[in-house]
Amino acid sequence: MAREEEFRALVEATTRLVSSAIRRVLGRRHSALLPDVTQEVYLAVWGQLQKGKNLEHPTSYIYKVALSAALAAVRKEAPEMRSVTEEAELEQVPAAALDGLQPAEQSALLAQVLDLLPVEERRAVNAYLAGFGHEEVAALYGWTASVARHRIYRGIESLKRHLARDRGKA
Amino acid sequence: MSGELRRAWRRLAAERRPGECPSSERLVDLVVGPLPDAERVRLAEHVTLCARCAADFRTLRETHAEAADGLRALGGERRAGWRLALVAAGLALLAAGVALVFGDRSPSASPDALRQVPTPTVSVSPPNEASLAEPPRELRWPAQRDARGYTLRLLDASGQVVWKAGPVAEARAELPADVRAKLAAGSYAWTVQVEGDEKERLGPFWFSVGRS
Repeated sequence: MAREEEFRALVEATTRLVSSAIRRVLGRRHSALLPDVTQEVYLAVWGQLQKGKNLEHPTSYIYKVALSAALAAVRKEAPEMRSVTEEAELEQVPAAALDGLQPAEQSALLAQVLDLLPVEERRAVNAYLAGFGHEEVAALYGWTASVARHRIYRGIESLKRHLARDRGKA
Repeated sequence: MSGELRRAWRRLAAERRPGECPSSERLVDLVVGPLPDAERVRLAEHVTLCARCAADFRTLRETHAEAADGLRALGGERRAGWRLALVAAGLALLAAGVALVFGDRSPSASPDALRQVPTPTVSVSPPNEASLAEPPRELRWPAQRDARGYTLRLLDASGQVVWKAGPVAEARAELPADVRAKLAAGSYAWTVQVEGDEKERLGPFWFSVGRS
């Protein structure tokens, strides 16, 4: 009975937060799944309580379960994984020469030059070139926004410098 | 320069397959934490290369940013015991939220009641997610007990209401010819507001029209 009371209190305390987080992840496209996912979340919580688990941070736990369950529901219905390149193909990006180099030569040169960068700058530049903004790069790697901005800037500058130098050698 | 670099990088990324996608739980950990540094780097590098995980990461991140206030309001979880008791006592109003989520089917929100919540899959016409050659002539939904009427809204993919009907007495609505003529190829959603003692909404249900 105590567990049931605990569960009831958790449901009441977190309903709004859980519901809005699930709704946000599902988006309009999958909003019909809201009741299913919500039910799944609270059943999971109830399962934990029934097992005698003591939830040290119950709100955080339920919130994370809600995000995971909602994302899993969307992924179940989402198309298969696409690589960024396939995405690029979908956009029909025209093949453009990097200062007169052939595409294969551009890629080879870029790979070579990326390997010359310090590891953190390389990560920052990779994420930036994949289309992430500096705040997103910061969130990805657990950096502050200013550190991410700095590493992207330094990385891109180094990249340009190396590219110019290595092309000169070629 | 960066446009050319991006294109070159995308070609390069094609050669570096991102591997198997992380689970939903791991992506949530990446956004919400905590996560060991090595695991964070591994996930971040995957997300950098995988368009699907990149999109999921962005959705989770935006959701987490929006939920920050709510989390803070319920925060201080190291003292969760007494705080939860206070919250539970003080937030009886949130029971209305439970009713919103579960309709009037599990107002007590007890575990047993939750288990008895029927699947929310509702039989409608045209079926949810139907692909149609032309706009439907009518929309049908299950009659609701004690409903005094129904208000139907048809929305386009941008969320704009393109047609509203009702309140109507029956659980169906015919699309007028001029409305059907306006529905270009694309996706549409429709919802039904049930008029009664307790407001309840059905849907959204989706269909797409394939004509050009």
